[in-house]
Amino acid sequence: MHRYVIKRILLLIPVIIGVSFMIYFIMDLAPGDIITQLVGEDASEEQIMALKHQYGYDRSVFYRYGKYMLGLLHGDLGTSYITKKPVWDMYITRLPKTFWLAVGASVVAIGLSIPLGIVSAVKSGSLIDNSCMVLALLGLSMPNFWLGLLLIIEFSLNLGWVPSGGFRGFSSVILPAITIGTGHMAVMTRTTRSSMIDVIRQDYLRTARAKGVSERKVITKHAFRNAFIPILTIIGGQLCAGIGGAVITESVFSWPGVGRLIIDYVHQCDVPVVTDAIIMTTIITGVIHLAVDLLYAVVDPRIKGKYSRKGIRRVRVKKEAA
Amino acid sequence: MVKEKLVSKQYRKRSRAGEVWHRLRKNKGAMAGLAIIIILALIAIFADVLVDYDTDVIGMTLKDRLQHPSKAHIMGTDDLGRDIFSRLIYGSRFSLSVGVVAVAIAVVVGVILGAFAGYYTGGIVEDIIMRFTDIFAAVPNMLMAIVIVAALGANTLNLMISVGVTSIPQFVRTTRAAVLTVTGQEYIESARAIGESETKIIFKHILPNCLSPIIVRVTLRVSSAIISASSLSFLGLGVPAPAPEWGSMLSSGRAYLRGYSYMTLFPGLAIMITVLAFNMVGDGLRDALDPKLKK
Repeated sequence: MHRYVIKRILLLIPVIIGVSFMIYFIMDLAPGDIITQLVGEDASEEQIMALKHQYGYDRSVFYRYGKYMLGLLHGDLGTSYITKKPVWDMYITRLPKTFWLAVGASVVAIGLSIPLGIVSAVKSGSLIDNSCMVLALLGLSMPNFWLGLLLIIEFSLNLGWVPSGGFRGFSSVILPAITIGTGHMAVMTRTTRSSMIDVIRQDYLRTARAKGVSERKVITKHAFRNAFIPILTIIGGQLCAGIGGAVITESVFSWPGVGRLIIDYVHQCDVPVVTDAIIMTTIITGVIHLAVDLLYAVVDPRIKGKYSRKGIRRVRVKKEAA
Repeated sequence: MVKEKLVSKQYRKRSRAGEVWHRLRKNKGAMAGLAIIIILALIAIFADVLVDYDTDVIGMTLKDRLQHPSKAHIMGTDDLGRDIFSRLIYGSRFSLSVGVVAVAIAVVVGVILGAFAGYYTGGIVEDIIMRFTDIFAAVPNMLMAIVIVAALGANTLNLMISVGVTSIPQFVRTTRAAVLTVTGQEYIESARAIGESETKIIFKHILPNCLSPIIVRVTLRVSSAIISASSLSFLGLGVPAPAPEWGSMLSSGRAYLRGYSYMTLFPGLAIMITVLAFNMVGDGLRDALDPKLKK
């Protein structure tokens, strides 16, 4: 198990290097270069040269990237070109807000989709099932920003129940969480339903019923637990999407999160801020994926064997044989 | 001839495509989606005939600004006095073309890379392609698209490129998985035995047998590409003004949420109907191509 975790974390390193390389170079391509933004219109040639030297723009992009990575290796995320503040400070004040939004969205999505998915699967083909599936399809097709705006119109402008944007305590989380949660809910309801339908046909459920387990227990304990793995995968994926910054929703609700940070500074070609924020997202995403893989073993103990030393070897042998 | 007559109509052998079409036709949702897509495509093609770009779509009549839906303007007018319905009609061109072109880019690149990665398993080719895909997929799609558009500059072509490029990893993975299952089959071995070249085996024998998952992925991806493209335009990173892209129309309605909500209502509805249509066809195709999933 430990070996597996260490191996996965080590595998994350080349990915992070690759991502940083890619994003840094793409950002460096951006047409508006930072020097023209930093100096005023009446800057002298000397001032421009001095600034170029300071930021390394008189050397190649490889030099700048090398310098940036060297800083990164020393745990220094660099300073923003625009605000001159350390990027880490800028990022870390935004992260909790994005985190709460991601959690809120997951609560909305999980709380609604799992019961709906189970009911749809149990009463497959019924009116409830069909209406749930139509709702899920609508949720899947609805653009996030549109739903967000409609919610603002109804619940904050017309009814005045909640604020229309910004971060002002619990009440301000509700609308953005619903906005993000709806899309997630649609995917999750469909996954829960199809996963449950697969399990419901299995013989061991008939056995459980035959030995007199109540129907409720059959569904919630015997069926759901076995259907949970694909659902867990989706939950993990959506948590990652949330942490990466629900860029659109954050921008609709003026939410001071990571997504807005990236959007605000991408326009101004602030290379360190954007690159760092995306690297941090990649790391968090990788850790969440790892956590989900480890949770598989908790849900289904048979999977645990795969993570052991023997298991890894066995999988490899199997691969080679095939 | 005689033999064909003896077999009753329902048992007559159909081609594979005919079989899929037959199954798809029974799916009401998919057929409704297909009908919507055809209508939208016709609207997009004949947009020039239906509305005049210079006067109806981008021509401003400030005295008519912010009029609520009425007989003259069935969806009202925007803050510059332009008829929203005409703009929506013309805007179908952007959404459909961006969705289709972006996915076409992703399919061409993704399928070729995925096919090579799946065919040359265990080799350096697979390693390079898959590691690149991993790196690409590690960045959330939307962020990647934003960075690419910001670097290339905001216009329609760059919008297509950025949405297309971010869709590549999905196609690489889908194709590779499909190729892996097909490569083990005996007919591939026999093709190899009679000495066909490897590229010919990949493109003639393997890929045609991997089409089902790719086709399903294409339809579903078009719908998410349309959403991504309009999201980018909503953020001001897509089709530049005054072009009537649905996402940027929605964005301009943001300033007028109070009292003029129709400005955000209709463009959003247009996006949703289009996306819904592609999703319905995608779901139908998945059921039709993979009968195992059907109850």
